[in-house]
Amino acid sequence: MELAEFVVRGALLGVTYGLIACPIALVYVTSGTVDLAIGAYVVLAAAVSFAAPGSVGMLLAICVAMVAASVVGVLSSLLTRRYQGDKLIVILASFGFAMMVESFVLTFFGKDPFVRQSGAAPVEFLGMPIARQSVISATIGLVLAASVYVLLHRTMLGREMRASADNARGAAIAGIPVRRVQLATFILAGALAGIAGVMTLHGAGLIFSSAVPLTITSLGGAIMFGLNRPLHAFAGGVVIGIVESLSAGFAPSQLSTLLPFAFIFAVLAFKAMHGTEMAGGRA
Amino acid sequence: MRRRPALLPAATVVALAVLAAPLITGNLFWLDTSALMAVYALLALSVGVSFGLCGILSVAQASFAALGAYTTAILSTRYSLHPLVGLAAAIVLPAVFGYPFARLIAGMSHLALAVATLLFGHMLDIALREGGDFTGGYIGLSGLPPVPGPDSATWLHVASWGMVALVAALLGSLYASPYGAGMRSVRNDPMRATADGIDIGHMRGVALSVAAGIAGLGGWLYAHHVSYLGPESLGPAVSISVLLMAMVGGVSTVLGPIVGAVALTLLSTLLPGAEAAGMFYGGTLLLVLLAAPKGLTSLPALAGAQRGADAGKENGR
Repeated sequence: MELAEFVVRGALLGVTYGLIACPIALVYVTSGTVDLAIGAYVVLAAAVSFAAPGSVGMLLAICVAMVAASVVGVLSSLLTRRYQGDKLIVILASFGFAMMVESFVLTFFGKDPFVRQSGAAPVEFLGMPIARQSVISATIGLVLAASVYVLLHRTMLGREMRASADNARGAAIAGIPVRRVQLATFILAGALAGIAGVMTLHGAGLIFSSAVPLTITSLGGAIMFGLNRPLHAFAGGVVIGIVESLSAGFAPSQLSTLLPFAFIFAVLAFKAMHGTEMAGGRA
Repeated sequence: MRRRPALLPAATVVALAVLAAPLITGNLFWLDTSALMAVYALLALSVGVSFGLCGILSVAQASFAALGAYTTAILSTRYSLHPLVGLAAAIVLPAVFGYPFARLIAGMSHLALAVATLLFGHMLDIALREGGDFTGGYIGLSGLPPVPGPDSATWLHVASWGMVALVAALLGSLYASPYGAGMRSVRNDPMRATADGIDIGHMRGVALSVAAGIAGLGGWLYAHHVSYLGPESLGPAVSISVLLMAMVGGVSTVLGPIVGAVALTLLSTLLPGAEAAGMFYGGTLLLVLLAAPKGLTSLPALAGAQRGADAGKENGR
């Protein structure tokens, strides 16, 4: 019974990782590159929403995350043109931008944790008490993941997004505004990351330096089942949440924070050894 | 292709260090900054070997330095061994660790490899914090013996830049050698390199091993210069900073990473607070990527090419 409880708690926690992993895959699908600043948008949104309370603050936080993401979107477009499609440069640039955002948050919002506990009573779920907030977050996360799936596979924009990634030149010839579609994806990714930030603020909370760990955990989840499928990426995020929760519950305390990282490392090494690597192209 | 002058970067480092010496002698702040600059230069050179030469986008260079630094710190504080014994251990241990580590991750794509090295950095960080008395835990290790030699700050300047020049000379020879050309071809076109009979996995292992050894040397210098070592000292954040330094200076040359380390360290001394450093480092990287694709050291060549292009246009008319 205890095991089941940890799995459920982990899955609820993992929805946040999934919500970050999903846009990572989305950007990869449309632009063939990865925005490593995504964890920084999560932290930025949490910081803004923490400073400006209420639903206006939440909306503002998501907008700020979208603006930040659009910077990387424009940079990606400029750099791809300049370096003849060297995806690695965009990844490095997004890393540089992540550092800027992290330092911005530290300078203007301080080093205290951003967390807001809701006073609502826990709800019963399968006979175990679960914080109301995490149920709300999980529901939002699932709905958003489903919407991303519908957007990508059932709408015109989704088809253009997939076409842009598959063959940018061909898509351009077919009359698809490739750069605009790619920019839109970056901004959409920022919006999802912003929502994840607001959710984390009301859940586990985070600090300015959470950005890089959040990015690598979610990216690991995204790579696990194949980086070119946003829904698989979401599932990978949930799996990592479960691993984290099980390791916090059963591993000795010295190892509990180390094990999830070791798990992702093992998954990456295993995939590389068996040639099932889907992540990232040749530079 | 133009032959690469093997010892020019080392000579440049020596010349600049000698020129800077009279300016900063007697000023403890600048002598301290100079030693830190040398540490960052060594770490950035380590990025240069792994990423610039062989194409391994490793974001764990400071963690290799931390391996070396903790090795010498534990040997000298716990077993009272001489820092020079620690120096050998601080270079050898990361280098020996680097080879199998590279073999493990060499098959990954660039992105997965970068993530794997980031994960390694964070795992080592946690291990150092949870290491109890052995690593000093959160508090760290203090009271390390100073860099051996005369007890003067000027000696520190000479010793640390001497190390940078030595590494630059060795790397200059490597970069100019056929072996270095083989490594470069692993970066530029792995398939072509395989066709030429180069064992890519082995080559990446050697490159990361050399890079880890250089980083370990940087870690040794840091540990005995600052004489305190905590998990934050050479943590994942430093790995990212030195990667940016190498990129800003120009990652594929010997001199580039050193220039980047000096430029960004100078920039950070002008900043009002340490919190804002990330904004300037990241901003500089973005500007350099947009304006001078091969880093600051490519600026003169870039200006020359522009002049040539303009002259060509004039003649064409």
